[in-house]
Amino acid sequence: MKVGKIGIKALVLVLIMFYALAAIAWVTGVEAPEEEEFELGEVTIEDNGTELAISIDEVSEYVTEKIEDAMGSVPEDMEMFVSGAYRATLLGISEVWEGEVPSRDDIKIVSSLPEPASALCFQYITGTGPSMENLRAENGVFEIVLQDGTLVENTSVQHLYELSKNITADDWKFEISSISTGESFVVEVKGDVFPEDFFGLREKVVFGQTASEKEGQEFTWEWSDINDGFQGFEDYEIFEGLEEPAPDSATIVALIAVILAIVILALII
Amino acid sequence: MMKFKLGSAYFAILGVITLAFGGLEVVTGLPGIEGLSTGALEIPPDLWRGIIIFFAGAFITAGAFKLRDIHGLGMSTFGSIMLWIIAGCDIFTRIMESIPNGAGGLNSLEGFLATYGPPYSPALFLLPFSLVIFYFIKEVEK
Amino acid sequence: MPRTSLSVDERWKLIDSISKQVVLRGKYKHTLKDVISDLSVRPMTGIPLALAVLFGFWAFFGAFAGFFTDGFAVPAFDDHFLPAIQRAFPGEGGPLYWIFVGDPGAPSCFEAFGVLTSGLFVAFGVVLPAIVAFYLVLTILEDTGYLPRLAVLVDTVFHKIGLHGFAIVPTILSLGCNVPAVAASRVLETKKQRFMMMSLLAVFIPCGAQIGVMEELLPEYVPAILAFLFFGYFVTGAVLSRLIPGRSPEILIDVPPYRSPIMKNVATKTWARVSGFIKMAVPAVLGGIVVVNLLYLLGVIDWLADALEPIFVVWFGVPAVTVGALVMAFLRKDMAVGMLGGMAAAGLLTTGELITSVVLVSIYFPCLATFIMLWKEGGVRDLLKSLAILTVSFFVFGGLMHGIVALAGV
Repeated sequence: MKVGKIGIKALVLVLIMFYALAAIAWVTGVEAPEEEEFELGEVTIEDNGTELAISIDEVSEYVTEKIEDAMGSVPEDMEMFVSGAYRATLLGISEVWEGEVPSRDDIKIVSSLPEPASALCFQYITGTGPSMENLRAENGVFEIVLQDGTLVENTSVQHLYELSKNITADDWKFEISSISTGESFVVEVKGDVFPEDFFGLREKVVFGQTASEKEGQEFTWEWSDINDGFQGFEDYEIFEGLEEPAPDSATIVALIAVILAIVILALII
Repeated sequence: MMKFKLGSAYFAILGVITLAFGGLEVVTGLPGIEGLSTGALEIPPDLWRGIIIFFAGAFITAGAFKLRDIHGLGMSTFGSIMLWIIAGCDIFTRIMESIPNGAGGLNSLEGFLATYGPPYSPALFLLPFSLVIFYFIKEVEK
Repeated sequence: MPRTSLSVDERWKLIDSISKQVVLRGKYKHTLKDVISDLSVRPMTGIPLALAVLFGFWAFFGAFAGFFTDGFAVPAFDDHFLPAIQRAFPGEGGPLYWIFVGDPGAPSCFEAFGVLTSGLFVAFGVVLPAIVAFYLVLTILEDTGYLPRLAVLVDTVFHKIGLHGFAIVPTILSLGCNVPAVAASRVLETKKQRFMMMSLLAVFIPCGAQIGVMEELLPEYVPAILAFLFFGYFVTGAVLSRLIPGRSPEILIDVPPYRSPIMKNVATKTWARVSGFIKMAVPAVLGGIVVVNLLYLLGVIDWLADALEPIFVVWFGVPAVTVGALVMAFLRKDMAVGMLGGMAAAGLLTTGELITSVVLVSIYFPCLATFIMLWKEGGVRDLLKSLAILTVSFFVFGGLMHGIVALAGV
């Protein structure tokens, strides 16, 4: 009977294959393809026939300036609100205008989030913000309508800052629509984007005087993570109602099949 | 007779080179010292590996001068086996890394090939040269 | 002549006289295998080879387990399986959801801690590849004939702690699973040696499943943690050897020739060990999560955490949340380390606290299966003595690890 020893031949074959592959890789200088990472694009709109590409940095600069003017300083979590509003606008425009460049005066944004940084972001994009007269030729519409249907008429930074004390994850809802066609899309941020009791901690750190140093540090980590998510995650990871593009069912079925096969084999043998 | 003299010289040189690379790996493996990389060669900063390659080189050299004697040949083979263990682990690790793409699927052809590209550890360069020992094993067995 | 009346010297004399009568003496020509075999057991050459074999063992373990765990299991479970089951399982936030799926907002299976999420992921995605890799290499080392040579090589070291070279077999087996290792302690001759071996294995040797999870969470610190545990193994062994009465006799080890392993034998032995492990470990992992989740829901863990907080914070330098992991460790140590990983990912533990907690889980109470095995092999008295050793070791080495981590500034 021939005994199947783990022999020299198999090892030699592996060695030859390895050195052959190494030689090919070395000579051709082949490089692994870069992993595709999410890239935060720019909000592209037309203002009186001129195409504008609005970057998040441009929006941030405007928002910082206006908040500083009104309050003297900027709340530490401001960036997170700008990023969230900016991402929501990008998604809303791509869903409503489906790749077409919208005209500024055709854009209407209704936000449920009574907060100044996100409001200024939307105002900058729609051209309705303070001191924008020289920055735009035409403007769209921006409103803040609370969850209970109340229209917030006073959109001053100070007033919105006061209102933002009691916001929750449910308030992160924005309706972006085309004034001319009436088509609209509601962008809703997933609740699990925010850690448990994030807004309770925010109220304590930003508005209260009782937060400990540890709580302050925890809040900084948390809002930074959320901000990173708004700037780096795929749409389906942060917004409700979007399907993950990859065909995951095949992977799940394969995974379950492998687990079952192992269990059955273990039980049989 | 001549081929054993040549063999002795060959394994003495191979042993010294192996020993030197082992020494370099030991030095780069010390805390605070970074690994070296020049062209296609990379000295991994790993003290454990370094000690093994250093001793492998020492054993190959020690056996090289008595290659006709089974004890000398055995000593060089013993050192070579240690070198093969390290190189074998490097090869196995590359094979394992070349298959998945890091996102749960199989690698692309470019990604697969790129895993086998430079830089290489000294053990991978030394392995093919150490296989010459099989020729002398056959000769002594005759 | 009754066997017991012979002293060790007399036995050797008897062996000499028998061998003179039955052994034919002549000139033996050494083969290459003989020379390599001889070099494997001489300290000057054998120790570097042992280092190389250990390196190979470790590198193979890392590459093989990494291939399955990082290459396929982590992306498949975290990116596909976890979000799908979080969405599909009914009653989000309810008790059943917490037991089976765990935290609905968890971004990874390590953090979710449900039966169907962390349970399946740890059992099949992390532990199974680690166990297959471990037993595959162990079987190859056995079948080549290297293990008995290693036993000869380390004989002197083990004599210092009242054991002998063959103690390396249960010790290495224990790095796979403590249960067969405790059974393998029977190869040691005296009651003292068997008791010492079982106690040292149960306290200081982490199983392959646990090492697999550690390798996934703290790859750069695993060698240091293992070195610390082996340090504890030898120090405690030396102390026990002096405290426990009894003999530590010499033995003869039969060293077979080196052989090429036969593929079918390697496959059969590896599979027998792996399937035995699956049958024992998977129900324990899944059941363990149910028990610990129930204890969390009933508030028992929080109560324990509050009660033990002073000891944990002051003596061990870890937060009281680690109590949950220690409760889990009694059921499955791999899952307990996984739990600690989830806590670290959630920002509840720093790296230093994670390292200390992982060591605490290792030297804390043996897992349920090992506990039963200790009981079966040594009886209630030995079990209680082992537990006393364990309690002392837990405080001494846990406190020491706290000091080392603090000094190293990790």
